[in-house]
Amino acid sequence: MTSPIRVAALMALSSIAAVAVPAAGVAQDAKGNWTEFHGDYRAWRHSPLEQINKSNIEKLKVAWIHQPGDITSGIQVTPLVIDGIMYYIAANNRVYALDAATGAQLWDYIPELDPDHVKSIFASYNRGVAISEGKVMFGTSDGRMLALDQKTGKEGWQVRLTNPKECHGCNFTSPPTIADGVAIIGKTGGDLAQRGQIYGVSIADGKLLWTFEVLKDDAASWPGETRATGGGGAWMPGVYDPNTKLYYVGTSNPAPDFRASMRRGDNLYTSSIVALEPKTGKVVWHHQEVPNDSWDFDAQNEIVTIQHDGKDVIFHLNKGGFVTVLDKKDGKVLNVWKFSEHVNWVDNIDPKTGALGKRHEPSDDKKDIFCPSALGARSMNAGSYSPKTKLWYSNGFELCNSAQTTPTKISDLAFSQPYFSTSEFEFNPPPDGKAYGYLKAFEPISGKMVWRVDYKNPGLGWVLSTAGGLVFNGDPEGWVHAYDDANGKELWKFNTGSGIRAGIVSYMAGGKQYIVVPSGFGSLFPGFASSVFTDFKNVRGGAAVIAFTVE
Amino acid sequence: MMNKQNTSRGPRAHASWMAGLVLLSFTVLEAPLSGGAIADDAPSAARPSDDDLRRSDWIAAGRAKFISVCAYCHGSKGNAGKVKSFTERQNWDPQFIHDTIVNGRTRGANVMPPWGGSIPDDEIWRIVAYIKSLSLDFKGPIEAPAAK
Repeated sequence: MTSPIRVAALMALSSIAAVAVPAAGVAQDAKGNWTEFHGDYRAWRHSPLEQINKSNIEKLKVAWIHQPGDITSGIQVTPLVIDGIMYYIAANNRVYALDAATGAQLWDYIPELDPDHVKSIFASYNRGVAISEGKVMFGTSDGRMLALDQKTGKEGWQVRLTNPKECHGCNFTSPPTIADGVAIIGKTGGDLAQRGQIYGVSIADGKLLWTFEVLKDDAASWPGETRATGGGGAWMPGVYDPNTKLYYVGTSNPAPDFRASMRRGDNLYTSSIVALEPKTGKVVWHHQEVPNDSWDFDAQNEIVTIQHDGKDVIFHLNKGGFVTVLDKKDGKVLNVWKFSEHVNWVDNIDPKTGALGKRHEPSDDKKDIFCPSALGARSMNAGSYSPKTKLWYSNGFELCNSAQTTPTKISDLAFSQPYFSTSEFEFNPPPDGKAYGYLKAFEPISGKMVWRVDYKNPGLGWVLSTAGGLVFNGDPEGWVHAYDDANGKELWKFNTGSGIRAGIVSYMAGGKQYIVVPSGFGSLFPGFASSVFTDFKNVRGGAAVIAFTVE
Repeated sequence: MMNKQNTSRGPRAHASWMAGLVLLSFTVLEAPLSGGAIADDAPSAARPSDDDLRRSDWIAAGRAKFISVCAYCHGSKGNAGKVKSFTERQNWDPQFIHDTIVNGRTRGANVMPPWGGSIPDDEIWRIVAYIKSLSLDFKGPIEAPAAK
């Protein structure tokens, strides 16, 4: 790999070699660290390590297990590993630092959260921390961002960014993104009667530098009073590209989720990819994937950068079941391809412009079926791109929902009640048959599928690919599978004892490569979908971080 | 600073743990204690009569609220979520259903927010009426009495 990106990454690496804490954008370095949520700014979730490979995968064994001791909503984290130390966050914002070679605990941090945080439907779970300038930072279930000392776990600054008691429980469930001295974080609440925001916080002292209003102050986009309770937010982390010096993030859906008729207009910047200046929060460009979204089609998924035809391009899967390929420079659409097998909310999306064709929307008049469902073409669990095979490996599933809408008075909403405006709602199998899940390998620009593995139930864990020619994927039954990256042949599997809803990563510690799998089912999805994927009712909860290596 | 640091576990955490145990005991004792009120700190609003809970107007009002508040997780007929389907229930104590809605389930792998203080208690009882109407042993609705 000799692309300008790789060269830039190597240059960045050499420039920070003397500094103890690596900067953003150099995760997949020769030291085998995993320094960012998605691996690095390209969101590949790929490890360049190859000590564990196709020839020795059969010898992969458990090295150690660490349990956080709180299984509320399971475990959803993608751990970070820097210079032999693993950092992870578990239920109710418990944070741990471990010796990554042995699992021995170095410190922990157990916060006292506002007791009312449990009233949020997004309470308790968290997907990761971010590390920079010697600080371990995370957003809390009760609306703050905290910084801990990276060496000791002692509390540093904290800042209140939102008050869940005033926004139907909007809070933080994902890590900040480190962007040029700024920790950027978006709040939950696309489904809530509130106004979504993204915040830029100074890493040095915790000061709030700027607030980006996801709901644009524009009467043409938000008629009448709809903006005040229009949802939005950005509940998953974005990425910061040190080359373009921009922060890219996918925003949440507008509210009420299913009744677009009462907020006619584009509803910017919901269900969009936005590129922001990290120092100011100003929009440099945006691409809205679903204008006037009527199906709960957030754009929260990973924004992946690769080189194509000599330039950096982004590809991104929307919940609506299409992947959009964009020029990273200006957000111009280069291609749109269909990811899902069952799509009926729109008859077509123009691959040259991204414009929606004929829409099929929920209405007040009758109950109808929509595919994909509000749970999306895939859940938030990102795929992995391998520069070796040039393939993108992603879970997905085929599921629909039926819905009918009705006007809802904001004053009638209970505290934790999502602002859906539905009189009928349920999840259904696709009209022509059964619901099912899969892991597929795609050429990400064209959308050509190269191989697939089918599952009875959807994979809800984040995928890892490695230079050892392996693709790791966890399933709801607790199995973690290793597949041949070229053809999807299963080479190894292990049962972790509970379903996998977290990020699998790889790192080096003490000269050895490890694969780490957080295992423990929970989260909202399995409950939502259990009327169709009935096995979800039988999956046990749990929380354990399990490290594997080859003896 | 409202946070404690490192390994200290405050008294509130202990209280939550105790509450978890109490909730666990609900689950274990649910079937044998059918008919008994076993909530620890639920509001003590009077329990409606069994006939009230079968009233067709209560069931209809409860269904509308259930669809808008509960159905995303539980399914419109209570067959989703991570609990035994509401349609397979028998001898399900209305007070237990009410108290679970009020207090939520805030510990364990599968949680539910507490709705007490957020949904008026009379509306919670109407949700209970709808949930009871889904049960396997539901005896059928009773027409609402004429307005007094």
